[in-house]
Amino acid sequence: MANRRSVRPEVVVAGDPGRASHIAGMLMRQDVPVASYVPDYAGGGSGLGIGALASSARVIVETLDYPVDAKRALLEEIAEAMRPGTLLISSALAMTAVEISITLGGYSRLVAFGLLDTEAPHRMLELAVPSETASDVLSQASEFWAGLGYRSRTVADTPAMTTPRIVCCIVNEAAWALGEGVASPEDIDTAMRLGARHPEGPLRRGDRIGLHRVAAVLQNLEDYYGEERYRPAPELRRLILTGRMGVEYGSGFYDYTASVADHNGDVTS
Amino acid sequence: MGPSFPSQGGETVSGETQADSLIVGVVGAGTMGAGIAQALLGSGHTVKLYEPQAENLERGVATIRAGLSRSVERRRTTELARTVALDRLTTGVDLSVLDGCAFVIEAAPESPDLKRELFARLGGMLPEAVLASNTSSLSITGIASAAPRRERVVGMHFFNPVHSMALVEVVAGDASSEDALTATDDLARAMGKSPVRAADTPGFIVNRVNRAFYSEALRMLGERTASVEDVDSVLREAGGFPMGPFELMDLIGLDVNYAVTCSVYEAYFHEPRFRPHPIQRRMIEAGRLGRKTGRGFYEYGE
Repeated sequence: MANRRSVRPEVVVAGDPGRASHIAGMLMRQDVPVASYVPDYAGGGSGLGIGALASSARVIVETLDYPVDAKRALLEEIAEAMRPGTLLISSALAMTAVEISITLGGYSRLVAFGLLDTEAPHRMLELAVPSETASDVLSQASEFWAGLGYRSRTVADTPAMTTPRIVCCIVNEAAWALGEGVASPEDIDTAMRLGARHPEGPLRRGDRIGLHRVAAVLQNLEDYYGEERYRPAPELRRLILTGRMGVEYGSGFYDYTASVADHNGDVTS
Repeated sequence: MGPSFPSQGGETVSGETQADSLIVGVVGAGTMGAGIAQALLGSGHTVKLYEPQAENLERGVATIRAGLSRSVERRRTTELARTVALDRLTTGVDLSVLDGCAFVIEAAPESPDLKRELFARLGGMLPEAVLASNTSSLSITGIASAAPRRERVVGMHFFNPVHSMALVEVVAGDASSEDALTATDDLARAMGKSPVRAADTPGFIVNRVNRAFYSEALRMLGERTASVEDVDSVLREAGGFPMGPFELMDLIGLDVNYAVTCSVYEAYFHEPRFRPHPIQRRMIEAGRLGRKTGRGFYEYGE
C-alpha cells in the first residue's frame, strides 16, 4: 500500500487492511489524491505513523472496528496528527458517534458511518453525528459517500445504528443455531433466504461482513445496554479466535480457499 | 434485487399423474392444511383431506378451489388441469378417510394433547405410512412419543402462504428414521419445494433465527430512537430486505408473530435473546393486529 500513496494526500483512509485499501482503491479510481494508513496494531507493519499524511488531509476516513482498543488508539493518533477543520468520517460499528467524538477529545467535525458490506448491491449506508456536530459537516460526509456511489441516510446516534445492529444480531443467532447443531450452514442459509426472504443467508452474509466486525457490533451493543442478549455465540468466538473471520481471511462459516461461490451464493467445493 | 422466490407447488398444475405421485393424507383444513392440500394437488398427488368439523372442511375445500382457480387466472395452469386436480381430492369428517395413505401431513391446531391423540390413532391405522407434523412450535420428539412407531414420525414445516413459499423444514425427532426423513425430502421436492434438514429444537431454523429481525426493531421503537417508517425503509434500502420488520409483522399478523415469539421464549426457558416486547402485547390488546384488522404499525384503508 505504501508505494501507492499520494505524497500530499487530500484524503487519508485509515483502518484495517481490508477496509482501508478497499475504500482507498475506490478513491484512487476517481483520481483523488489518497493514502491509506494501516497502523502496526491493525496489521500494517510499516512502522510509520499517520503524522505526515494527516497534516495535509482535508478528509480522514477511519475504518477500524476490531478490536475496539485498536480503534481507540487509532482515533487518538488521528486526533494528535490532524489539522483543525479536517472532516473525520469514522466507522460506527464498534462505537457510537458520541463515543468517537469523546475519544477525539470532543472533536465536532465528525460524522460516523454504518456500513457492513462494501460490496453489497444496495449501496447505501447510515450516517450519524454526535449532538454538537455542525450541520454542514453532515452534508459534506454525505457528498463524500455519494462520490463513491453510496447513498446515505441520517439516523439517530445509537449503537451500531439500524442495519448493522439488526443484521449482526441475526448473524449471531444463526451462529448460535449452527453451534447447537440445529442445521448445516448451507441449510441455515437456504432456510433464511427461502423462508424469511433474506437477500442472502445470514452465515454467508456474516462471512462477507467479516466476523470480527460482527463481533465488534455485538460488543458495542453489549457494552451500551449491559445485556446478556448481545453476547457473541461461542461458534462466532471460536472462528474469530482461530483467525477464520470470513471471506477476507479465506474462511469463516464457509471455506473460500478451495471453493468458488456461485451466483446463488451456494458453495461448490 | 435479491434472489427470486419462484412460485411453485400449487402454481404448477400438470394434470398428469406423475410416476412418483403418492396418496397423501392431510389432517386439518385450516389455512395451512388447505394450502398444503392445494400444493399437493397442484403437483400431481392424490389427496385425502380429513377435517372433523364439517363447516371447516367446507371452507377449506372452497379455499383449495379458489387457490387452483387463481392458478388458472394467472395462466400457470389450465381449466382442464384444475378439474383433474380437484378430481384427485377426497374429503371426510372421519379419520377413516385417510385409509390407504402412504404419507400423512398433519396440520391440526397446535395443541399437544390433540396431536398426540391423532398420532396414536394414525400410527395404529397406517403402520407403514410416514406421519409428518406441520407443527411450528411443538417438539417432534414429543409428538412421536405417542405413536406406536416413533421412527415413522417426522416434522414437515411449511411456510404461509404455502403456494408461494418454497421452503420446507424437514425436522428430525430423536427417533425419526433416515428412511422416513428421506421420504419427506422427496415429497417436498416432488411438490416443487426446497427441503432443508433441521434438528428438533424450538423454532427450528427460520422461526428462531428471524426473531432478532423483529425484536431489535421493536427495541429501537421502544427506545424512541427510530420510527416505524425509518426502520422499515433503512432495512429495505441499506439492508436489502424485501420488507422491513414492521410491515412484515403487519402482513403476518401481530398475534401470530407474538405467539411464535412467546413459544420460542418459553421453550428456551426465558433466554433473553428471545424476550417478547411490551409493544407487541399492547398492540394486540388494542386489536391492532396488522393488515387483517386494517391497523397495525401502519393504517390500511378498505
